[in-house]
Amino acid sequence: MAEQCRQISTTARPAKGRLARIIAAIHSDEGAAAIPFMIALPIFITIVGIFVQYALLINAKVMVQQAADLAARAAATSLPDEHPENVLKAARMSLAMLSPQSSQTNPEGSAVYEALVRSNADPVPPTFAQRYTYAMDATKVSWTHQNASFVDHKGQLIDVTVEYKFYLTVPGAMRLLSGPRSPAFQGTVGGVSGRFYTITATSQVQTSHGRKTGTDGAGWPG
Amino acid sequence: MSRLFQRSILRLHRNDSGNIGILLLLTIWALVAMIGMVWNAAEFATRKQHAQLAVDSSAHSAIEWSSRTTNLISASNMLIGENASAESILRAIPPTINGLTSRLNREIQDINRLLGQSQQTQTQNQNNPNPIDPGAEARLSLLLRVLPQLLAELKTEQALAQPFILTGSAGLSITPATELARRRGEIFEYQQEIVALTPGVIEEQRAPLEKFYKCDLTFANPGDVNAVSGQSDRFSPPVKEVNQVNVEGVQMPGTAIPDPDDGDVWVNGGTWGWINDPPLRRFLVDRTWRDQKGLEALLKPVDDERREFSQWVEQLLRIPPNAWGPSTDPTIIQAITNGFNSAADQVRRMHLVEPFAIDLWHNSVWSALDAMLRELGNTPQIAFVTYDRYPVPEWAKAGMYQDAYNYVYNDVYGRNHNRLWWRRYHEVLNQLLKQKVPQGQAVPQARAKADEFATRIATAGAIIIATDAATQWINRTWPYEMEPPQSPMPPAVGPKKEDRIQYLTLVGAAKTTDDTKVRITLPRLFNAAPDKPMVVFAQAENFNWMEFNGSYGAGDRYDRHDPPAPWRVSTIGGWNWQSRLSLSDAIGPALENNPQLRSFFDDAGVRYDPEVIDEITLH
Repeated sequence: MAEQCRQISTTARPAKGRLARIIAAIHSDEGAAAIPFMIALPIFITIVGIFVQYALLINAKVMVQQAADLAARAAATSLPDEHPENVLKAARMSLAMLSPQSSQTNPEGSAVYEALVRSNADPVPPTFAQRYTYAMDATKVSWTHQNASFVDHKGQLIDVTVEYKFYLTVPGAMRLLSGPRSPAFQGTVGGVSGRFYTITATSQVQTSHGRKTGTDGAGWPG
Repeated sequence: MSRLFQRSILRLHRNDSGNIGILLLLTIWALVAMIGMVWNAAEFATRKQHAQLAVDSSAHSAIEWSSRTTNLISASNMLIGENASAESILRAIPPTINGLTSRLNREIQDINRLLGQSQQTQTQNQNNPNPIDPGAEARLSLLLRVLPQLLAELKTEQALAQPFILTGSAGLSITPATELARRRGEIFEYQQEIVALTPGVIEEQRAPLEKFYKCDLTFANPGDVNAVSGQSDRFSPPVKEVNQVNVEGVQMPGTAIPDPDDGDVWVNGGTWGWINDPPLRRFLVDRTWRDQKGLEALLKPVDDERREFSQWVEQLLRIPPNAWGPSTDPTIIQAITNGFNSAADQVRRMHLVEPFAIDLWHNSVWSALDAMLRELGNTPQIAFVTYDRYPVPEWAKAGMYQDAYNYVYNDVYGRNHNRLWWRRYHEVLNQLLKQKVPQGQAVPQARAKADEFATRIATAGAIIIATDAATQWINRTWPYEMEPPQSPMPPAVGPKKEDRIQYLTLVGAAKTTDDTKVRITLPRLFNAAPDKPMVVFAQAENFNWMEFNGSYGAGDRYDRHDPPAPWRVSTIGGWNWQSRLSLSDAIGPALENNPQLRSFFDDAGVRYDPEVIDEITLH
């Protein structure tokens, strides 16, 4: 086919004006490489996108694990001292920076944002309150012996589990993560619609002794 | 411009070299950024975890020293209590031996004298040619029959008392009381040394911990408002030295009650609310009660013998079946009966069958213990840091008043009723007998009048004294180990939050160093400030499970006449101090009071704002 074209171009009479230039351009092989490039580019971008999405997922996994560790540390002292809300809050604060902005702002998010700004803690983006609001809806924290009272029990080993709905941001790549067995799903979380990937991390911790632990006659926890 | 652009486009069309290079560059850049992002997240998490581990373990370890010292003080206080208990018992031995021997000797002497008199009378009767009063003869025969048996019995009791006398005397010769007092002094010096050493030990431990974790560490006492900048706070155990802790009682000499027959009748009062040596009282009293049981067991045979003897002595004192002989004359029978009864009463009045040895021992022990408590209360000792005199809480006043009232009322009534009863009984009986009222009628009448009089006067006196004493009772300050809760127990059981923060809590902070700081990759891209150190904190506290044990803190009653006795550093319950990490509710006061702790936060760029600190303090 290319040979035939070359023959036509060499045997045909040269045309005049604009038409002649167009015919010449068609007959020319300059830029022919751009066509396969254009075909390959989306595939390439998709591959890079998948790579980026996986990298973001790995990063999210690391941060959810960190959130689980922080929640576990909070649980170690907050559960026996009767402040279980701290466990959830520790995870949310940790995951706020990973979260997209919610369309709403929860007062808790605003309070935490204000506290962080006033304490000059870490660099806090102005969108922190909205991100925290998303994290409030996206984060679930649970621990073993959840119904037990820690204040009147000696220290015990517990597993603190953080479940976080990670927002998938790379178009196309997120579809590839979906599947019947995948923890990815489509829906709305914290006012943000799109695809999400549920990440779970667990951290084990020994709680402090409860101050009100009952004792036997010898003074040891009964 | 448009020509230049056209040429550039055309060049791109013509020249396809380097296309892959651009893509590769983009890919590599994306790769590096992604790896950097994951690296930074992991690095931050790891460093923070490391610093948190450093401060958690060091704060826990530091407070552990405080717990150990507190337990050591409690244990050594118990040792002082055991020593004082031994001394109380040693001091109780001589009066008990004296009381025991003198009572048995006196009883033997009394019987010997009566027996001698009876034998003498018998001799006189035998030489008397005149007829003898049948009643006197009956009396004499009973005495001559019973007294030798009583004498033999008392000698048996003397023999039974020997083990106590020998063991007690041996104990006295082995350990003199002065030696025990000297050893108590040594234990106290040891306690002082331990308390003084503890802050230094915590401080000494800080340097190796810093080296181990490669973090700067500081410990702060939230309650220490005099903390020195540039030094880690010196955290002291929750104990203090006290002296002269005896509390004088309320003295009520008594009151006069008007009586239509007698004028004013005096009702004796007393002294209530003595508290000698409060910090050690609880353990010492318990310990002495247990320790005295060993010697008490040696006296039990004496009392058992007397109890057993009481069973058959009554049989001995009964009128024998053939006492009247052939006589049927009622006057003679009555005379003989009176004679026997008179002899029996005389024997009964000697109280020979009344167990007394253990009571004597207990009285001696409690008397020695009281003296010991008073003596210890006047010597320095180590008590819990919050030990002081506090007013009775409002909510407990009503209950304490009623309980103190009942206690004093019963005491006054019990002590006076008997005295007044006998006094009025004898008065009335003598009066009736003088009026030739037959004894059979006079006695019941005297009893009835004595009952009425004693009950009326003792009740009236007890009400006045109990009201007065109970009123003073609730309006005075009492030595409490902790400030009494301002709301009824048990919700407020255990130290108050303020006390816990001030005396039992330690706040630690760790700051990363060059070795442990967060190493951010692509800091500009990730807007990080790697030069600032990271600071983390932890709070640890000394606590005691016995606060919630019914035999100790949870059993404390503030609405009783006998307020809760200290236990936190002087009993087995006070030997259970534990260390724990706690929720950091004292970070605010710690930052306010401790310049070095504040400098850690300043270095990390964290500003202390008391209004929002609780919002972001989550562990």
